[in-house]
Amino acid sequence: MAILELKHVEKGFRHRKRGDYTSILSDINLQIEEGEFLAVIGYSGSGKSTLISLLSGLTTPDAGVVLLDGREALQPGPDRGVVFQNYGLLPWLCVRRNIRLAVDSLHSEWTETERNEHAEKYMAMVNLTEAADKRPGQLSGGMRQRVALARTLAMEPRILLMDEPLSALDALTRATLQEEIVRIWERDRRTAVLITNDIDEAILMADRIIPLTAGPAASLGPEFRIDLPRPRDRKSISGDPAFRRLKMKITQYLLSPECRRMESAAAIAADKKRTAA
Amino acid sequence: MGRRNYAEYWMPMAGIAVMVMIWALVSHLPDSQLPSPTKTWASSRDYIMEPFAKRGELDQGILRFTWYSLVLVAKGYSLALLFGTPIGLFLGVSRTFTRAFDPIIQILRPVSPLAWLPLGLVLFKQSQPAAVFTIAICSMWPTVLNTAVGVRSIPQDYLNVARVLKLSRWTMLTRVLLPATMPYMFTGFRLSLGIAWLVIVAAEMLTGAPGVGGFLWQEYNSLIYEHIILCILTIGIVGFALDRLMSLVERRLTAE
Repeated sequence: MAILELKHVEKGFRHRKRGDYTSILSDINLQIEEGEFLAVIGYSGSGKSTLISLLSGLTTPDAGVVLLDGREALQPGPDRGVVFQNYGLLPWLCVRRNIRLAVDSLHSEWTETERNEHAEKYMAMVNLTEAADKRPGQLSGGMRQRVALARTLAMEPRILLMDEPLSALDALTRATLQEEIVRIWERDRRTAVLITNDIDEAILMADRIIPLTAGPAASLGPEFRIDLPRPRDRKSISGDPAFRRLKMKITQYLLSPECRRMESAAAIAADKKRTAA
Repeated sequence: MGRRNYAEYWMPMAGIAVMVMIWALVSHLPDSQLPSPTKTWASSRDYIMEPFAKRGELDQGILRFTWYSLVLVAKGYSLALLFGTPIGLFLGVSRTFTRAFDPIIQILRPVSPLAWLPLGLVLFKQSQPAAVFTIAICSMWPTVLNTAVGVRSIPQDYLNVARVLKLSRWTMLTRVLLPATMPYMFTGFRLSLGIAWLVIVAAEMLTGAPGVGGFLWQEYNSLIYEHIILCILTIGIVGFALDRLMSLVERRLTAE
């Protein structure tokens, strides 16, 4: 059984004044298996963040269901940890306090020492120990994302949901963090879902890639299995023919009219004309 | 450095000098009732040079009067913050609460202190508690409204984080809500203090309570117009100092 499953999920928003409904995601069917590393790749504005909100329980679908272990899940919870694109750190708390926020909230029965050790463990895991007493404002983007990652890992969630966690970072920091996330994931192979717009990143990190078609009313495309052996080395993998073939196939799909919704784009343009007239 | 000193120090001096000159000119017009700067100084001198003297109930140093006023302001202002902050938090958090109470707040907010004071006198039978009541109710609104705006403008990110981490209500309040709202709250606190200081003068004039406002009114009735100017300047300088003090505290507490 899938650990997390979306069945015929629809999500959109109703325009406040006009009252008409715009669909963001339409007929989303997704099964996430225990222990896999799944990447969802898509254009910006296609509804990737909405997808993460649905997976995490931060929003509920307009139609369809979100199943966690086969049971409908309507609320976010500590079993689904989220790493947000813009970090979601509280600027008035230092790194340690930001992480302790998660630990204190989920393990109120622990002693002070136990909680501190737990926080220290995860700070060490993402090489943050030196920065423990600094505030997010004093840190670089890469360091901030490490804090966000450590905070989510400290929740020890069954599923790690990452919403474009690296897209605001420079290429070098990005590469380092990609490797770190995979290294941490490989230790206990908890389920991980990564939302990204970078094909190389998806191939390097994931077991399975699912493209999200262009919006509005985006849905999921065909899956691509990534059977490249782990650990995957960034330097050698880019010359690997299997890697190149995958990259080519995914790129072709993302650029295909089917994914870019050429027909529907034309339909939308026609629709606009009609309303204007 | 020299140029900056010039602009920062001498220009305000020049502005003040121009104002004093205009004041002197107007006071020397024929039939002018306005006391001249020199006359004002001569008759205010004792009040300024011995600011804490107490020669009689109605004849005290200017800072002693100011102190009486400040004590009353402190009482009323504390009450305003004590009630205003939680009301603002509730308004920001709950849409139902806003629906229920926003109209009444909008109606009570523009009511002048001169209108509240008689009600205070009826309720409390004494001038001091009536003045405190008036200050509290008039100066509460900026704190209420700014706190509410502050809560409403907390970034969605923080609320999402709080939901994912399953923060308790108390942690949510102390770690997320209050720190995020702090800058807005302090803007409200500062505006409230300004209003509290405006109200005290009006309240004292009406009740005759000892203080700068009471002194001003009494000197008007005794035809000592120089002291009216002394009081106006004192009120202005104290108000300015209070505002500066608040912005200092604000910068200290909300600095990152």
